[in-house]
Amino acid sequence: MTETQNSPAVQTKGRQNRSTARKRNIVVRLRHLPVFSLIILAAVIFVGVFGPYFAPHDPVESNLMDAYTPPFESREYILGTDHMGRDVLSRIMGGARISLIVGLTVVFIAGAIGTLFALVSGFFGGWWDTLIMRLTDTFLSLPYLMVAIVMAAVLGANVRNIIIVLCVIGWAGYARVLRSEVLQLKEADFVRLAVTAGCSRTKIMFKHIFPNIINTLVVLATLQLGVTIIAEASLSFLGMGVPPPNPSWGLMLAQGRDYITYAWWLCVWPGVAIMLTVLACNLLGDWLRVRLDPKFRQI
Amino acid sequence: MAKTILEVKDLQTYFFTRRGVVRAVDGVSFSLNEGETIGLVGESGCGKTITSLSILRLVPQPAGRIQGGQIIFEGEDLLQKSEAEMRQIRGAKISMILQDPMTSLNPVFTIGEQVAEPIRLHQKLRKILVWDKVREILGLVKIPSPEVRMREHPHQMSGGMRQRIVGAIALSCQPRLLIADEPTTALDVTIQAQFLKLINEIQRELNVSMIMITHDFGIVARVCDRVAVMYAGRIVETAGIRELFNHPHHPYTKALMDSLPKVEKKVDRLYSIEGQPPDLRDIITGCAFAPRCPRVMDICRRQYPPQSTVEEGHHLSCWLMAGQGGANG
Repeated sequence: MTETQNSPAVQTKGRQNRSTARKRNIVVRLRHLPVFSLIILAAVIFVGVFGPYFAPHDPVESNLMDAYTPPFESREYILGTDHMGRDVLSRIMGGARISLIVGLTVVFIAGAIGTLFALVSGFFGGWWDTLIMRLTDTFLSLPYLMVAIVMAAVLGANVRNIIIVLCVIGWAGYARVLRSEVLQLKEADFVRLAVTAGCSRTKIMFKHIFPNIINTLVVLATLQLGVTIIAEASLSFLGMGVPPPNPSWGLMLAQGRDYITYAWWLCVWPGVAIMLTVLACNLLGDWLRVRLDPKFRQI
Repeated sequence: MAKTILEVKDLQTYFFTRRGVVRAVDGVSFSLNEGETIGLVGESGCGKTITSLSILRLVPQPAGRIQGGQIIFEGEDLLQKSEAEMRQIRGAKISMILQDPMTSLNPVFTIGEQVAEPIRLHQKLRKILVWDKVREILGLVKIPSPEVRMREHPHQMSGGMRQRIVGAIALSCQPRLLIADEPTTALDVTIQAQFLKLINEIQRELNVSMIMITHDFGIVARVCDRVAVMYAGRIVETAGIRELFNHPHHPYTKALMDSLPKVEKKVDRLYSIEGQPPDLRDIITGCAFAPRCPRVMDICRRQYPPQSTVEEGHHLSCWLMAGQGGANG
């Protein structure tokens, strides 16, 4: 570089420094990511969305000649086959889709209902509060298996009804936890300041209070995702969820239970799938809890 | 003669609780000229804050209610306005600074967004103009490098800086009246002085009237033009700042002044007023200060003293003065 270009060179150097600093920052951020959770969840989501296109077999196609193939023995059935000769790997891939559909839908709908109720209950107080909180108490004390059995008996056991049951039960938890946050925030000085600035009540509720409970909401939702996946598995296990022959992790556990003495893999693989997914959800929730605190953002 | 911007007439704000009616503000009257600062001084619980909340019509619901009186702001009675009309006034024409800067800002929004909010609420401006205005106001309250600071969150600021931002929010729509409720209590002394100086400067620049609520006579001396001393929901003495400091007349005002530490007089123990302020649930006949007053007379316990005028702009309610100076209440 010649001397005449000295000053632009200095400028570029400064710019380079800044960009390397930014790169380093990204590296630091990446290092703090919950790699395990993200890999597991990414895999579950990928398989849930695209599974049917590259699954080695049709998850409901039975091939009695190959029944009870143990895992890792045949190249065609890596995780083995069940009592009807269905490929366990393909069924787990299919089960991921059902778990995801149920989990995400329930978390979304129950979260929305619960948050709305929490805001109204906590912010408006009075009659609204009493009404909504007694309703919450009632729903929290409903035994969800009983409700599910009744629903399955009346409406029939299918994915839509599982979602309805789990939503009916699920919103109350959000409402209870978030309401206490709203109550606290309602008395906060910044809310009073917004009132003195001429904000209307609805605007305060959605613009000032809601963003402050999003952190808790996201953490609750990730934890709820795990709980919902387990609940779906339990319902399917009990025969009140996804009807056979559809692949569902809970249903696979239930069917595998009968053969556990000589075909361990029928229970172990879906069990592992449930455990890893739920664990990943919970770890992600834990990481988000710390990460979403605005005080942590600058680090 | 300066224009009167605010006139509070016989304001009564009561709280209806299960254990009786609390007369938090019981017949407060004062007026405020354009660009003038009045200090509301008194012990905690004497009704200073409730008076200011009444002006904004933000008395805590559902127990509190403005029972009577008039609040005339720019020629219109605020008590006759609808809630929607009040929202147009709050933040645009009358705004408020709260006590604790650490909790007055919303932790999830950037400083810029919070300063912009009242502007967006009250003025229809284009986005770019709003940000220009935010920058200008942050400069006005002497935030260094506003361009950078407006992108930051409240937790990245010190207490003094946050209080200046709260000030910026209050001033963002160029209000005619600023109510400051003990704005410096949570700040340390050097920052206090800085903040008060800044407020005074801005006030002069924008010609804003101000109600300064405080229990600190030091602050009163520094920023106020006039003082109203409150006791048990009433104003007992009001006077210009010099007049009040040089010739306090009401025994309560004198007692407050005596309980301030002074440099030139070294004492072992500071003077303190005997007894407690009265329970505002009781019906008080006569002067509320009578049980604690060193110069109490028989009539004090029977009848509330009429307002008397010591001189132009210096009024008080005390039987000691009722004979002299000509009663007019």
